[in-house]
Amino acid sequence: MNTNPKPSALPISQLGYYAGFFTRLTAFFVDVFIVGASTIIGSWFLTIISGMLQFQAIFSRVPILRAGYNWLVASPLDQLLIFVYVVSYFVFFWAIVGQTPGKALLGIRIIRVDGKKLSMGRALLRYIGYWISTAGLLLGFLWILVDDRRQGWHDKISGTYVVYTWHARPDEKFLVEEIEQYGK
Amino acid sequence: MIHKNSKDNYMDNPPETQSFPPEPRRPKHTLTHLIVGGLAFGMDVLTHRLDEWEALSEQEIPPVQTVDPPVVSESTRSLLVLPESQETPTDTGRYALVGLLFNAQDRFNSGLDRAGRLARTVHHHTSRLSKPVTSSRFFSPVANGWDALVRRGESQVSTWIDRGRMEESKGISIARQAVQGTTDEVIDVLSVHPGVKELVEKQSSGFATEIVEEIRERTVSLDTLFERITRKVLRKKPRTHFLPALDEVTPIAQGVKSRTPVEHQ
Repeated sequence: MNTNPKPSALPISQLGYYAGFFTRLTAFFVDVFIVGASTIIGSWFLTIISGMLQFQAIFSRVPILRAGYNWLVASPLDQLLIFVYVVSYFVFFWAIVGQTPGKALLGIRIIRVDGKKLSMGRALLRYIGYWISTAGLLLGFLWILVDDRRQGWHDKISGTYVVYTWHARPDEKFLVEEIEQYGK
Repeated sequence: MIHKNSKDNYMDNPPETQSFPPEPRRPKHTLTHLIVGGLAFGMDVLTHRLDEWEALSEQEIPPVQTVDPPVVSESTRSLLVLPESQETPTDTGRYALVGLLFNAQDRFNSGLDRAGRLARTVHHHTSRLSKPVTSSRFFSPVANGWDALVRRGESQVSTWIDRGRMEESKGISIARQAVQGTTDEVIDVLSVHPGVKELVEKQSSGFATEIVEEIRERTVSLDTLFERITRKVLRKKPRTHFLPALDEVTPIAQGVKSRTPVEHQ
């Protein structure tokens, strides 16, 4: 295992190199959109189904059921369900596939520092790391910009890297500007 | 085809219920049906579309406002500078021709109306003048013959009308089937033909891949740009060398189809 790789000039293909801040941020926004949209559609679907099956009318006729129904409506169960869904979404995709749909779209993957896949526990730890990164005025995420291995706090906590899974390279226009500015 | 007892049939049955005996199929008749039906169908569609477009254009174009010229005294007239016209002589000529075309059409229609009215007036007066002669006993054999001729002619025309009504509806049906059938066949060929199918799939998947790659390339550029700005703000040296991932990472990372990397960077 190569524990101390030597730094090299900007490679032709950044396949396997650490993914940058903006790519990761875009992937996160894609995931947020997917989670948000699926939550809205799912809750709308459940409302339609419960309306069709006349749950409210049935429960209102039986005192015990009515009490239970009222307790359910008053409780923060829906919020809890949404929270569980969001956590499951990230943890499941990180641990099983290694990338969420947003990360897959942007061509990046999460791996352990030893190159292996994440376990469920490590994925959950990484999710908790998200909250820690957020709690530090988002500094944990911005850390990606200055870290040599482009790790955020959540990456450091869970011992993970995010790498490109494609022959990553900047677009031609950017490259031309780079060459013009800094020379070959 | 005219039947000998068509008049009797017509008298017995009203036009809607009158039926003709089945005819042997003739390709030439089918072609005629197609032409007649196509014309009728096409004209119907065209008229409908023209009405729609006319209504739309009337909604979109604001009415032309005519402004009366201001009353100017002779002494001040020379001081006024007339605004320069934005229309070129070619434009003016074109407008004149278009106006002439529409005017001619209107005049033709009004001329037809006038001719019809004139014919009716002439018929009215001549029939009144000739009534003593035409209703006289001396003229009755000729009148009877004329009436018989007219009846025969009317019967013939009504047979034609019935036949035309039936054949036109048949023609429209054939034309509609032809249009629908051809469209369906073209769609079938496009959807079933392996070459076309492959082309469409390739085109759409290629397009999607292009878009995704474009987004990825731009985000990679922005990665570098964001880092550079941050390092500038923190007064750190710009990153010129990149730390590669571990050797074990690359084989895990691979597996996503992408264009081959560029030769020089």
